[in-house]
Amino acid sequence: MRRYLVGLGVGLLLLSSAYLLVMSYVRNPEIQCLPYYTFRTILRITVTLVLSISTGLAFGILAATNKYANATIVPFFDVLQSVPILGYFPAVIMFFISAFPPPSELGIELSAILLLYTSMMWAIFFGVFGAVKTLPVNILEASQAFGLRGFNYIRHIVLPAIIPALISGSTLAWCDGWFFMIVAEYITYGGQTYSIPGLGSYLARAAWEYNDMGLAVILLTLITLLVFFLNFLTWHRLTERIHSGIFKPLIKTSFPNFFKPKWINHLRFQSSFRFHGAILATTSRKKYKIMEWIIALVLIIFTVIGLTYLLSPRIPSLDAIIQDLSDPEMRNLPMYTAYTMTRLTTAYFISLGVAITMGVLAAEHKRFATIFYPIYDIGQAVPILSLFPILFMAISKYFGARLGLEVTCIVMLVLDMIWYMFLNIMNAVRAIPDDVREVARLFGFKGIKRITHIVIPAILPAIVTGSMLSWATGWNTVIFSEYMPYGREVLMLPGLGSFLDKVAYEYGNTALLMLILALITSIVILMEKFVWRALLKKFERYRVEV
Amino acid sequence: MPALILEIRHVTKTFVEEKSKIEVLDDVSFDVGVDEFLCIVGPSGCGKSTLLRIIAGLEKADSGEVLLTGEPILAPTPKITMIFQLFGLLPWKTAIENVEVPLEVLGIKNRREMAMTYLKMVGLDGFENAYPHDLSGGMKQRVGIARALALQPEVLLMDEPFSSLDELTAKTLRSLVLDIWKNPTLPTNTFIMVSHNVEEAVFMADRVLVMSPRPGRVIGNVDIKIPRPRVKYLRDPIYFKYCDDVISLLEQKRPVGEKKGFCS
Repeated sequence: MRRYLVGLGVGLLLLSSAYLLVMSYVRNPEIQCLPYYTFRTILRITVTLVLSISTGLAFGILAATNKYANATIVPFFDVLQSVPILGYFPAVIMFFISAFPPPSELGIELSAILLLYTSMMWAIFFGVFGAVKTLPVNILEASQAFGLRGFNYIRHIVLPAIIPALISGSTLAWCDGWFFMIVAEYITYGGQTYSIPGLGSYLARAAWEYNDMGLAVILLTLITLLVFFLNFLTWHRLTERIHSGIFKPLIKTSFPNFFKPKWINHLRFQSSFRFHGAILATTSRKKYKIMEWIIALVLIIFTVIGLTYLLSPRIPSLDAIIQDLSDPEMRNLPMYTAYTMTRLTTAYFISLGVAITMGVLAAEHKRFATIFYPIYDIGQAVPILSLFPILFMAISKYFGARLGLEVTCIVMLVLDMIWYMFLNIMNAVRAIPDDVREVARLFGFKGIKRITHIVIPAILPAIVTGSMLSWATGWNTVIFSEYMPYGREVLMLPGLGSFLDKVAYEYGNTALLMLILALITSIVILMEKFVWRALLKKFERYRVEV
Repeated sequence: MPALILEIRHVTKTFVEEKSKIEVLDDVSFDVGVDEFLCIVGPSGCGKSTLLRIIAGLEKADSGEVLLTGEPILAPTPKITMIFQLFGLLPWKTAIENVEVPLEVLGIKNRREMAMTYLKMVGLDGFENAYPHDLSGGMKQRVGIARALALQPEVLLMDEPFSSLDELTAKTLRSLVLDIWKNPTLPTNTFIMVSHNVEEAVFMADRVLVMSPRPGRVIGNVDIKIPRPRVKYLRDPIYFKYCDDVISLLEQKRPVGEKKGFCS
């Protein structure tokens, strides 16, 4: 408690002095609005979080306790989750801007909240769902034996059981909110720029309108500091609370003598580990019956049709759709797909290589582990999408605008993808059981043999889970970072992401947008189904049973 | 007095955790003869497993030493190997690969045949390509035994090898282990087993070493002079007499106020 209060005080002091310093020394017409922007962004994310928690909780409990809800909601959400959020964002903006035309801020504000919501809700829903689903059988039996039903069952059994998952899901959601903030607050649509007051839009303006690299870096640092501090203020405290509570935490988070700044680590490992658990829960449950597939499919088709209907200003006739789809650029689609896939694959293998190297080093030498974890923590607190303008400004100096964007895009992808890999691999390295380590020593495994026979197989399942997550997040980033408003013009790399942005923001072509979105979603789902799930199933038996 | 294979000399071990020191072993000394079957029993937490790990070279003693035919043990050696309570199989290797891998480390050429021989010996032919995940507890421990034997060690250490198995399986595996011990064609004939099951110890061992609660010390030494095979004597008063001897050593209370010293 005392440590917490000291941390709180020092953090607050540091943060406010940083703000004061920035506000008094930086020359920028908007700098005095910084506290207001901060307030707006925090408010936006908080409102969305409350929304996500209430719906995620309700749907999660419903899906886990009701057979019919389970058969409909879960597969439906599973598919929806695979659609890259930034992919349907243009459609959302189209809708809200036409509903609440500017200068009203409401349209943008609503689309920002919806974007944040769709990125934040999944973690909570799947966390809650997984926690209820994995309630120990003996607890269920005991509750039945003592006649706990209905509301009492929810109150005494379900709610206490999901609190850890809820908190870690919320932590994750909160971080996701900061991740997408910059995209949600600053939007270019139909050749025009819309923004709502907030830290993200300010950062974007600093980079793209004021062309002020120094300010952008300062803002980014400030945001990182803020995220760090807020995490400490809320989630860390809550995480500690549930640990001292009567309910046994689902995951142990005491990492003896590995970590110096304990409060930082607690939180993130807990959260992401839970999420990992949630993903696994989805994996093992993923055997839908045919009926469930049909229901989910019908629901999805209805949703898509409904969305299209809502989003397009008029009901499109078949002719209009055909005309929309006969865009001359359509024949470039396979090429665009190939380009984007190449970019993603390149970034994926770079992240894979680096993450595995770091994981192996951490497994072999405790000292590396102590260095890597703090790096991971600081890196993870940087809202990566916000890094884009800054990175581009720095990189394009050396490579020129065109090649610079290509390099920036890859760097962004690597920075984004690597964390999931790194996190999963590190967790796996830490989870290598003592008896396996002992066996390795007893039978004299050394050097390369130790790595190939012990370390690599032990982290293989984690590599697959990490890959799955990193590809999912990679698609979002690629949509964002192939397309860059550069001064007066727009700079773009040929690819699916930029094509989607162009179709949505410049042409306003709904039918084509839907097509590209469906294409991306099917790539994501197919890869998941045929690559990752297959590998995961193969490696399932590698998991050490304890 | 038969020839000695292992000498444990004044072994002490203390674990330091955060701020507290836990004294685990306090001046433990004993000898193990060639071909002997020794059982170490003691209450949980008395350092039996730590002792076994020190003998295996997995842990270092703070002071004292362990001599294998006169040579101090400083690191794991193929001459001493171990069977684990939780089997310690690599989940990503099949049964036969689990047996083969330590042989590969030693650079042995015909390892597949050797592994197969030992898998057959423990009755696992037909399961060589199964992953540990798909094997029952008893079968996993059979793989563990085959893996240890394949190295042809001089001393076999067993860390509560049957305590995570059900009683029926444990019974079968106990006689399997005894058969292996008595088999003169195998080079491995010195067995040291840690157990907290007195009946098991008396049933299997030539000699039972009794350890005190933490910090672990040797507080008794019971020679079990029941003729083998002992299955016949499981209902015999002599069997119960030995069990009682060991139990009464285990149940000795420390005199109040006295921290050190035991009358053994």
